[in-house]
Amino acid sequence: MVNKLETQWLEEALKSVEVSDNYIDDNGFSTGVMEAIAQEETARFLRWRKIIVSVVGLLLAFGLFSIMSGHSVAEAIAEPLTRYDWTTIVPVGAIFSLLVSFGCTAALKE
Amino acid sequence: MAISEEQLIARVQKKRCQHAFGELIKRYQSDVRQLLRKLTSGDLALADDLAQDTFIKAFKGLKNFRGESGFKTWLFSIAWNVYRDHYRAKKRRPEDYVDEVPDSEVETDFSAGMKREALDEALSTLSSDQRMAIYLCLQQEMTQAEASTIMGLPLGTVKSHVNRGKAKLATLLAGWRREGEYG
Repeated sequence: MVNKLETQWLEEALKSVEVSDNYIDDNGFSTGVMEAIAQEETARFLRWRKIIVSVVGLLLAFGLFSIMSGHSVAEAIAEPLTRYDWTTIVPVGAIFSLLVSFGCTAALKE
Repeated sequence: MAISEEQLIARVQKKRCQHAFGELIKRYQSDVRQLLRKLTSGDLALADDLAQDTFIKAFKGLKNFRGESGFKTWLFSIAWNVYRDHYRAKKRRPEDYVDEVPDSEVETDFSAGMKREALDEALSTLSSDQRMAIYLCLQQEMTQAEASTIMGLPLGTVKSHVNRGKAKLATLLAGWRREGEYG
């Protein structure tokens, strides 16, 4: 333990140095940071746009495929539910969800 | 009339307003850069890179800022983590690059103008934890509780870092005291 009186001179010296050169001029620093943030925000927006476009594309393809095969979209969704029981639908659904989740995570990864 | 800090923070939290965050950067860039310059032992380019990372992380994380500590305290804790992550990745810290830590005093035959250099040299021989604790508690005049929050360390550990750092600086800079200016 250091005696307070013994280090008072040191504390005064540390404060005097700090006070003497406390302020750093911006000199474009904040502009540079804002540009970096704007670039990251743009990249983030582009990644989300990629995901949204991919998901919408998949849904459109599914709808188009079902219409071309002579079913309505509702029938195309209901069809596997009537054909397969839950022991098949649940694991397949889980695997599909996981794949979509991994895909989105990979697409959003910085 | 200048917009208050709370209003600027609220704008960033609600609207991700970049202009408001730009104003916050202008207000705190000097403090954050100064802190990182101390930690990096005067490596200005590295300090500014780390300061930029600090503000980018702050922008991303500001939605989680609840105002339990001051904004400056919160920014300093991010800067401290950015600094530690940088050297954790390199597995070496600035003090590891010091060839040999002097056991005795640093050069004491100097004019008043050289005292700052001598102090910086002495500070650079401290560990990062000691340097950070000394900077926050003695140079920024923050409380040890605030330093504890920023550094993510128990209060007792911060006190210990301050005392050990002071003891080491007192040994290295003993010439100043003998010279009488600060004694």
